[in-house]
This record gives sequence, C-alpha cells and structure tokens, in this order.
Amino acid sequence: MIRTASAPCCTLGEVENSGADPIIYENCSQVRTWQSGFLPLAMDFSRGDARYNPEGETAADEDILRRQECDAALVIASYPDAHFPVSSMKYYAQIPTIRIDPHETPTTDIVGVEEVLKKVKEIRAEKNGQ
Amino acid sequence: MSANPITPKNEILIKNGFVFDPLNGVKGDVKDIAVQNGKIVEPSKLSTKAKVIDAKGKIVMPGGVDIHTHVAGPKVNVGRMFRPEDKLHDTMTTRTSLLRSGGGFSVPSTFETAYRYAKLGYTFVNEAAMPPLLARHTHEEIHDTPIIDQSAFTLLGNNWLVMEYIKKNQPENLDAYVAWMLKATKGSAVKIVNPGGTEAWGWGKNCTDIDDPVPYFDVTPKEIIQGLAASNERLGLPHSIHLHGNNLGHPGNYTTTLKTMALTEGITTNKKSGRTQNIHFTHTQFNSYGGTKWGDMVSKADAIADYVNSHDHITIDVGFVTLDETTTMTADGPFEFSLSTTNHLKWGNLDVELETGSGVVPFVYDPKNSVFGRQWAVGLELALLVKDPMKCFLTTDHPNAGPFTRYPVITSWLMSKKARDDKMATLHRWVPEKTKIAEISREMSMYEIAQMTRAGPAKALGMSKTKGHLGIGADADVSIYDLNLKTTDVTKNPEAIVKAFGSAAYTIKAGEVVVKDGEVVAVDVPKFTIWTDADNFNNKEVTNDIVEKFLKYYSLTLNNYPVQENYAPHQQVIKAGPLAGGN
Repeated sequence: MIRTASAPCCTLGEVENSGADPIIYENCSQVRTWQSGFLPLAMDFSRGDARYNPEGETAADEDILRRQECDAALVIASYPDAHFPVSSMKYYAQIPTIRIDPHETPTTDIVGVEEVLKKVKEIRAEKNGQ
Repeated sequence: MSANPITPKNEILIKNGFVFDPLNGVKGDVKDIAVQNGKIVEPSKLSTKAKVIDAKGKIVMPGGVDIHTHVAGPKVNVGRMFRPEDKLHDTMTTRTSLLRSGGGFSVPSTFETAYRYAKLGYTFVNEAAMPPLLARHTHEEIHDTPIIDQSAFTLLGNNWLVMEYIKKNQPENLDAYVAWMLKATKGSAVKIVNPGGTEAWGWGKNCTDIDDPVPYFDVTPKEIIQGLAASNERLGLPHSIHLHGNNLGHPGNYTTTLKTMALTEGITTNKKSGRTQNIHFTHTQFNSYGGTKWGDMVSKADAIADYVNSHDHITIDVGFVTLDETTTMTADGPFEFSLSTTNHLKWGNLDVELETGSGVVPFVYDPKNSVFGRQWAVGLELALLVKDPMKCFLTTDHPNAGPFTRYPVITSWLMSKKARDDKMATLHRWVPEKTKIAEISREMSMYEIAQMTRAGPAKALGMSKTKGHLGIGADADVSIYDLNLKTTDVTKNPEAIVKAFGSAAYTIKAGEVVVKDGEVVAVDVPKFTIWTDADNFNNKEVTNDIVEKFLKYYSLTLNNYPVQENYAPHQQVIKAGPLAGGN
C-alpha cells in the first residue's frame, strides 16, 4: 500500500507552477481515483481504508512524517522542507527520499538522489532541442 | 492485477444442487456440474482428486451476465472524483492480506466493483459506453478490475466519419470504418447513445426525435440507427447494435421509443453468433413515459412491452430505478444538462472531439417523490409485462438508475408480489394511481430470473457458446445460492431472496472458487477482456479519411490512438466479418 505523502503539499496549481508536466499529474490522479475512489488530495490510508481529507490539513506532515509511519518519501515537484515543521523534517531527513523535479531547491540538499534531477534536466533539454 | 493462466489442477464437482440452466432447458433439476481446466465437462471426466462442493438444497446457476453497466472509463472516474460524499464510511472496506481497500456506494473503486459483482455471483459484465478517444483509460480500469470478465462497447452513434459515410451512402466504407474502430479501441459492440443528439449538443442543441437533423452533418438519428444496424449485420458482429434512444428521460417519450424500435424491422438479422435480435434497446424504462410533463407523467410500459412481445428483432434491458441516492453518467450530454437543471447539484460535462460527449450528475431518487416512485413502477411493469424473459434483461444501468448491488432486491420484487406491495406502501400515493403495477399479479420463477440475468443477456451478446450456461464446453463460471425453493416459499418470504442473492454461497470463475459464503476468497484468477475483430478490409479510401481527420482535427496523432496489445494482456478475441469468413 502506498501512503499518500505528497498529498497536501501538491496541488495542480503548484505542479503547473513548478514546471512539471500537468499530464503526468493528471494520469496519476486518474489511477489513484479508480483504485481508491477519491481524488488523490489529502488522503489517508493509515487506518487501512481510504479516507478523504480526514483532519483538514494533514496527511504527509502530521499523520505520516511526524508519527514516523512511512519508510521512504517520494517528493514530486514540491518542497516540504519549506513548509513543514522541524519535528516532521527531522524524520524526513533520516529516511531514503527520491525527489523528481527539474529545478534545484533547498530539498536537493537533504535528498541524496541527484541523478534523477539531472536526468529530468537532460530529457527536458532534449525535448526543447537544446 | 495479474491473472494466472488456467491450470489443469482446478477440478470441482458441484453435487446435488437445483440447477437452473435455461439455455440447456434445465429447470431446477437436481444435477451434478463438473468443472475441469476452466470449462464445464462431463462429471465422469473428473479425477478422484476433484474438490467436491455439496450444493444440496442450493440453487446452482451459470455466472451472472450484466449486459449494460458503467464500471470503467473516464466518466466513471469523474463520478468517483467529484463525489466524496458517495463514500461514507459504511461503504468503504479496509484492506486485508488478500483484498485492496476502496469503496463508494454508487461508483465504487475498480477493485471493490469486482468484489461486489463476484459476491452477487456475477462473472461477466459489459462496460456500456467507451469513448474511442479514451479507450486506453477504459482498458486501464478494466485491467485493475480483477476476477470478472469484461468487454466494452465502442461509442459510434455521434462519430463524424460514421455520419459522413451514412450521409454519402457509402456502406462499404462504413463497414470498414466500424471494424477499424472496434479493433483500434478493443471494443466488443457498436454502442449508440442519443444518435446525433450528443453531436448536436456541441451546438447547444439536441435531437429529441428520430427525424431531427444533426446540425452541419444533415443526417437524422433515424439514418444513423439504420445505417449502423445494417453495417452491424453485414459485419456479423456478435452483439447487435446497442442503443440508448433519443429523448431519454422525458415525459411523452414512448412514441419516439416505438418509432425507434420499428426502424430495424426490415433489416435481416445475422444469426451467426446465436442471437436473434438486430437491435438491443437499453434501459428502456427511461424511454417508456407518457404524458406531457412530470406532473401528468404516466407509465407507457404496456405499449412498449406489447411491441417487444410482438416482434422478434428486438431485445431490451430494463434499467430499474431502485430509489437510492446515486450518480448518473452517460454519453447523452444534453440529457445530463437537463437533469442538472432539475436538481441543481454538481454537473460534469465533456466533449470528446470528433466522437461523442458525456455528462455526470449526482441524483437522489427520493422514495417519497411521486415521479421517482412512478419510475420505479415503470421498470417493474416493463419486466413483468414482457412475456419472454429471454428478451428483457435485469439491469439498473448501473449506476444511473441505481447501483448494481440492488440486483438482489430487484429480484425479490420480480419474484414476489408481496415484496412489491410492501415497497409500494412506503411510496407516494400516486404510484398505484398513475401506474398499473398494483394490478400485475405475475410472480417470476427462478428459471425466468436465470433467463433475465444469465441465458438472455449471453445470447443477446452473441456469447452463448461460452457464457450464460452450464452445458459441456461452457466457461466454468458458476454461482451457487443458499436458497431452498422446495422448503422456502419466496413469494411470501422475499427477504430470503435478498439474503441469498446478496451473498453467493459460492462463485466460481474460470474453474476457481472466488467467493465462499459471501466473502471473496481468491482474486488471482483468470480474467479476460473480450473484444471483436472484424477488421480485414484494407480499404484505402477509409484509411485516407482517418488520416485526414487526425491531421486536421484530432488533438493527438494517429500513431498514439489505437489501444496497444499490452493494455489487454489477457484477451479473448471474437472474430467477425471477413475474418470469420464473411456472411
């Protein structure tokens, strides 16, 4: 079962602003909708079933990181370290994290996987014919 | 979802059940059914290692066949997405070591859809509306729906090239194009939804009668229906055209319905696949209203049933209103708009480029409201007045008139006048006054229910060689219900039907037990996507027309359009048209 770690800090607007491809966002939202029944925003699987926006602004920060429920984090075009409290980020810094983003952000320093970042940059450069 | 290949190990002997198998004329006789390698075989063929299921005192039937349901595709997902209120906690299930979490009352998640169908004893369901442009999405959802076999009907009734070929009277081109579309989308049948009307909706208009011209294209719904029906029969597709008629859901529409049903009277039916109809008129309940407005709306189910009784070229399914809060979704864009203006709830609307459109609106069929009560009665009248259950099938147009999980209670209404009367007593007083349901005393038998839910739909779909029966060589899809008709008088005790049919004692899919005592016990069983291949025309003119449409109008290139093989890794292809040796 995949925990929804990116949910509250990843809106369509943010994805678009970040320069990521909205089509990718659209597709993964479709898959998660038919699998769970919900639009994948602010969802919580920690009780074994899918719950929508269970306690308001929660999920990644309160439910998952601070309670240390996840084993790894996948951050897509988002900057949790800029928004989440230190208590959550302490655990976040300890676990393996993969970040997919074409831009360098403060998160890059915490995350060890820079290859992904470079690769995305290369693909974008190819696409743009640079 | 991964589906195991059929293994020789699955041998099951179902002993001493009361078997209802209409296609083989078995009417509740005590019989043994033997299963080997995913097929029904002679009991003597089994080895001594076969697992034995004691079905003594239980009903044994072929697995249920749903001829018309909306369980996969973009508009179904819109229904999930924009209705979190459809997923109250009691409709959600927790994950187990075997099952995925998920849920929703009227539009459940794909995995939950499969579990619920299996628990009802259903093993083959047909997604009734696949927009060609979004066929990949539909197949992705089918791929994530375990256990049950599925097929999807390709929407063609508002397609630009279809309308152009019909207008130019080019039947050869139409045949080649229909065959190409079925192959490109991995669809199984020709679906027509509000022919011309959905295209007209692009201009803010509608085609409310079969002679209303479609804006710009200047063809009429009548010509579209006749053109596609004739093409369907020339190609010899397994199913006939599957029609959602014009003017659905409006008082007084029964005259349009009768005119529409008569359109294919003169078209010769291709009986190669075993079906006898050349038109299937779907969720007919919504098209059987008299009167001029909702206030004076009366049931005209008797007129529609008379027509069906006296003609052999037609089959229908009902679309029972179950009086629940549900989600309506259809490719009939203008209808969904008019529906949203009646209840002022959410409205989703989509135009699918050159092909079709769709709309999604939540709907509350309040049992206290006289209109919805009358709709409830129209559905039951239709089912009870059509004499031959091989022509009239049990559906709720899931989730439009109600979710499929209500099939057991509908079965109880059909089998017991007491159940109908008890329900009617809770409804508006106009229901008995303005409909004839109170006067109908017919109580259907279990054999007739098996015809409405198994034999009939399988035959109409042209799948009666492998589905919907328990003869030698049929697919080993079997459902067993814990209901003893010898000791229980179900007409006086309809709750027994709801209980037994709501949770099958056993559901066997492709020779594997998937449900036992109402609980799903296996999911990793063979599951197939079934589609129809009739494409061997190599018609240059049609190819050029398709290329031109993609260059000029489509938002993607032709290369990215057809559904690739890996979208349907477990497929059964039915050959038709030139590939099956022509007519």
